[in-house]
Amino acid sequence: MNMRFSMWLSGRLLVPKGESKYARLRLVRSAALIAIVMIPLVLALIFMDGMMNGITDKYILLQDGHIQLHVEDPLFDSQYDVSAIDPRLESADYVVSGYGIVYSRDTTAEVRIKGVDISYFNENRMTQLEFTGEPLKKEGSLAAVMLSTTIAQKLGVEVGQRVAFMVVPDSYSSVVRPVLANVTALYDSGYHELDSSLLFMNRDDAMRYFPKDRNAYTELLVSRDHVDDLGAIVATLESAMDKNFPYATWDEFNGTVYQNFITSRQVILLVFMMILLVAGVYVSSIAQEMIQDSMQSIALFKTLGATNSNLSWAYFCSVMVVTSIGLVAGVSLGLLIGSQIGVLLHWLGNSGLAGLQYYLLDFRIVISWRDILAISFSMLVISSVTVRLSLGRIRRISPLEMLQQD
Amino acid sequence: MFTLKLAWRYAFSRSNRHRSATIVIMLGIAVGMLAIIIMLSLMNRLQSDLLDQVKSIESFHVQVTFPANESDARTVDDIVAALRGTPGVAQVYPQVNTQVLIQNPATNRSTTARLRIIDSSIWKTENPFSDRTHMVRGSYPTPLHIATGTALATKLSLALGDSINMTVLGAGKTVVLAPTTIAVTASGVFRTGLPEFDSSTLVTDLDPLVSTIGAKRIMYGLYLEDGYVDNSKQVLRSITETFPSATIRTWQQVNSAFYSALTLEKVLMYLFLFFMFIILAVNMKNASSRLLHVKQRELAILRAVGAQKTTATKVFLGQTIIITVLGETLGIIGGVYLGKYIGNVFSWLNSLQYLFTRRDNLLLAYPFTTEVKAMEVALIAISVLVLSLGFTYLGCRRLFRKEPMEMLYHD
Amino acid sequence: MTKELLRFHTVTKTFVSGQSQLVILEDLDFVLYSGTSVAITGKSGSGKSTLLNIAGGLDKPSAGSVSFLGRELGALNDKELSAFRNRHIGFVFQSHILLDDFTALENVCVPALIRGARQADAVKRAKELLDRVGLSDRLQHRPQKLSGGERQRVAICRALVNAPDLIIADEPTGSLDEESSSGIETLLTDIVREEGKTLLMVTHDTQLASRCSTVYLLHNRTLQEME
Repeated sequence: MNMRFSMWLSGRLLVPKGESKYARLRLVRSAALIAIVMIPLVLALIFMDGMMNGITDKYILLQDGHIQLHVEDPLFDSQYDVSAIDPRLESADYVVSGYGIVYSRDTTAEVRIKGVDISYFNENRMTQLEFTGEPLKKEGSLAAVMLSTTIAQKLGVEVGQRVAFMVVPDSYSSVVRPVLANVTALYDSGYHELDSSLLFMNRDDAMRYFPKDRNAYTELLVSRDHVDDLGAIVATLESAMDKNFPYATWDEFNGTVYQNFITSRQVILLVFMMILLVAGVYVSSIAQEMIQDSMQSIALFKTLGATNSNLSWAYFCSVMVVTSIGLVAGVSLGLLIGSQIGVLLHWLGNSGLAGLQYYLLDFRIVISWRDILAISFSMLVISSVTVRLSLGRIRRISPLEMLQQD
Repeated sequence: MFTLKLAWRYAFSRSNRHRSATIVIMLGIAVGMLAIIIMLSLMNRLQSDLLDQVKSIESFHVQVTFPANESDARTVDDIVAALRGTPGVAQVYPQVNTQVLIQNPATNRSTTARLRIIDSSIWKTENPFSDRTHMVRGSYPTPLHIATGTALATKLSLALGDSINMTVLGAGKTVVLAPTTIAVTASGVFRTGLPEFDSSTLVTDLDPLVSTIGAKRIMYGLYLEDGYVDNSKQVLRSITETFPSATIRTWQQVNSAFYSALTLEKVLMYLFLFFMFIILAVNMKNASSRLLHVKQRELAILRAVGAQKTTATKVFLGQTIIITVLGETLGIIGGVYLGKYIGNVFSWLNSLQYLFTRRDNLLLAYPFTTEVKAMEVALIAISVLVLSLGFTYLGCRRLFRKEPMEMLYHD
Repeated sequence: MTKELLRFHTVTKTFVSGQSQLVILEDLDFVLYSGTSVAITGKSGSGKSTLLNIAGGLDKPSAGSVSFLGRELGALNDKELSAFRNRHIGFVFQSHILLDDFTALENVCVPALIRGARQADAVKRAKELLDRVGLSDRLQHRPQKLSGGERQRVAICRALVNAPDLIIADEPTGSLDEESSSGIETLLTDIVREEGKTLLMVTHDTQLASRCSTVYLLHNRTLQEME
C-alpha cells in the first residue's frame, strides 16, 4: 500500500485550501463538537475521582487510618519517626476508640468516640478539618472532647459548654453511669456523613472508659503512593520489631463505602460509554460526508490507479486526526475548567440544597490519568470502528460513474 | 399527503444519497432512547424501592409529634383514635425512637443502637412495615422483649433467649434525660432489607418502656391509604385542624436531604444522557443542510409547477418528524423490551466478564428490575423531537428566508 | 522496434437492462502496437467509450479477453488492475475531469504520488510537463481559474506524468472551441510522438483522426480499418 499517497491525500483533506470554506468549517465544527462532548465527561471524572478520593481521605485520616495494628499497648511514643522503619509510613498514633451516646438537655446522638493525643492532629490530618477552640485541652477533671459542628448543632451546644455521654461499658460492669465532658473545640471536616458520628476525646480520658484490651490500637498512615502496599508495610514492621501484629486495613473497615465507590464509578463509566458510542456514530457521519462530497474525486483517483485501501486510509487518517484534535482540545479544556471546579462547588455548597450533604464539595482536585486515558482511548476505538464501517462506501464508487457514458 | 410522501422519499429513497445519513441518525436516536430509557428506568426502580423501604420501615408516611411542654388531657389512645379517624389515614402507630447502649453479658459484646419502642400491633396487622419485615428467627417482641435486626444480632452474637442489658435515656427526676439500665430478653431477629435499619435497630413493645422514657417523646407514625402517600396535603390539613399545635412532617420532609440527593442524581443523569441527543441533533442539522443543497433544484422545479413556498419547509420538517418518530419508536420498544429482561442481560454480561476476571461483578450480579414511567418517556420523546426540529430549522434556515428559485441563481 | 501492446481477442460486451440485453461489442478482435496512434470513430452510442474503458481496465468484457503486454487483464485483481492503470495508462477525457480542490500542479502530481514517487520528484516532473505545454505560469491555479484549453493541457500532462505506455483519449477536443481544439490536437499528437508513446483515441474530429497512423470505424459492434 502506498502510504505516501495516502498521507498526502490525508493532509490535503485536513487542510482544504482555497475556496473550500465549507470543508474547512466542517472540520472545525466536527473537532469542536467532539471537544464539547469530552469536556463534561472530563469534568465529571474530575469531580467523581476528586470527591471519592476526598471522602476516602476523610475516612482514612480522621476515622480509621490506613492500617490498624490491634496491639493493646503503644508501639511507639508520639515523637518517634516511623518512617525510619519504613519510608512508606508517615505516622503512627496510639488510639483508643469506642461507641457511645452523647446527649445534651433533651437531644441525643450516637457517636464513635476516638481517644487521641493532641499530636494525632498532624499536618496531614489538619488538611482535612478546621476547628475552633483548643482541641482536647484538659481543664479540671472533666473529659475534654471535640465535637463536630454537626453534632454540636444537633445538641445545641458550643465551645466551653458541657455535654453528657454514656459509653458502651465493658463486660465487667453492668451499670452505666453518665459522664460529663467539656466541649473544648468544634471541628468541621466538610463531610456531613463523617461529622455526624465522630467525636474526639482526650486519650487519657478515653482510656478510663474504654478498656485497652479491646479498644486500643495503633493507627498507621502511609504515603499516598503506597496505599496498595499495606500488607508489605506491615510485614516490614513485623520484621523490624520482631513481632506479629493482628491488623486490618482501611478497605476492610469501610467495605460498604469502598464498594459503593467502585459501583458508582462503574455506573458512571457505563454512561460515558453510551455517550461515546453516540459520539462515535457522529464521527462516522463526518467520514460519510467527506466521502459523499468527494465522490467524483475518489472515482478519478481510482481511475488514476489509487487502490481502495489507499483512499480508505487517507480518509480514515484525516477523520481520526480531526477526532484526535477534538479529543485533545476537549480533554485539555476539561482539565482547565476542572482545575477551577472548586469555585463552582463552593457556590453549590452555599446554595443550601439539602441533598448536597451526602456529597463532599471541598476536596483536592485529583486527575486520574488512567480514567482520562481510558475514555480517550475508548472514544478513539469506537470512532475507528464506526469510521471503518462507513469507509466501505469507497469500495462501491466506480470510476465509470465519473465518466459520462454516451 | 404529497408533502408527507416527498418527505419520506427524501429521507429513505434508495436513489437518494441522503438515505444512509438518515438511517444513521435514526439508529442513533433509537440507541439514545434505548439508553436513556434503560438508565432512567433502572434509576426509577432503585430509587422507588429505596424510598419505599425508607418510608415503610424508617420514617412512616407522616410523623406527628406534639410539643413537649404542652399539657393535654388526651391520652395516647385518644390521639391514635383521632388520627385514625382522619380521612386518608390507614394506620397509626405511636412510638419512640431513641439511642441505647446494649451489652450482651453472655458474649461480652456491646454496642450502641437505636431502639424503636412501638405498639406491637404493627407486627400483627397488615401494613407497609410488616409487609417488608421478615422475622428470621423467633417471634415479635412482647413487653420487655426485643427483636433485633440481623446484622445487629450478629454484632452482639445474640441468641434467642439471651438476656441483654439495655441503657436508655429517659425522663429524670431532676434532669430531662437520665440513663436507666433495663434487662430485656431477645425474642426475635428480623430482616427488613434496609441494611442500615437491620444493623442498628432494636424493636420492643410500647409497654412498659414508654413510661420510662416519657410519653412526651412519643411520635405518631402514620401510614396513609394508597393515593395519599405522595399527595398528602389534604390529610395534613385535616390533622392540623384536629391538632393545631402538632408538628406534622411528611416522609419527604423527614428524608428531605436524602430525597433531594436522589433527585439531584436523577437530574444529572438526565442531563448527561440528553447530551447524546445534542450530538444527534447536530448530525441532523448537517444532514438537513446538505440535503437542501442537493435538492434545491428539485425544490425550485416544484415551485415552478405550483407548489407553495411552505411546501419545502413542510417537507424538511416532515422528514425530521418521520426520522425522529421512527427512531424514538424503535428506541422505546427496544428500551421497554430490554428493560424487562435487564436482569438476564446483566447476568450474561457478568458471566462474560467472569471468564476474564474469575470474579463476580457486584453491579452486574445485582438483581436489577426496571420501572418505566410513561410520562417520563413521553416528556423525553417530545423534548427530543423539539430539539430535532430546532436543529433542522438551523440547518435549513436559509430555505425559510429565501425563495427556492432564488437559490438557483448562483448556479 | 514495435511490439504488441494491447490485444482484444473476441471481446464481447453486453449491458443488461431489466429483461433486455444490449450488445455493444461482439467478437471484437483488435491489436495495438507500441509507438502507433490509433483513432476510433463511429456514431454516437456505437460503443467507442466502452471499448476505451475496456482497454484501460476500467471495465471488463462480458466475453473474450484483453491482454496488455502479454498479460491478461481479466486475471488481475483490483490492486493489480489499479497498479496497471497507474503505471501503463494515461487517460485524457472529453471533459478533462480535474480535481477542483487541487491546483494544476497538484492535479498533474497525483498519478506520480499514487505510484509512490517522492513529492519532490513528482513536483519536478509535473513542472517539466506543464512548462512544456506552456502553463508554467499557471501552476498554482485551480481548474475554475483555467480556460477549457488550459484544463485539457493539464489533463494531458497528468496522463503523461508516469510515462505510461498507452495514452487513452476519449474525445479530447469534444468540449473545446475550434481554436483550442486545434492547439490540443497538435499538442497531443506531437507529445505522443516525441515521448514515443502509443495513442488510442476516440474522436469525431476527422482532422484529428487524420493525424493518427490508423483510423478505425466502430460499426455494427466491430472495428473496421479505414483507408
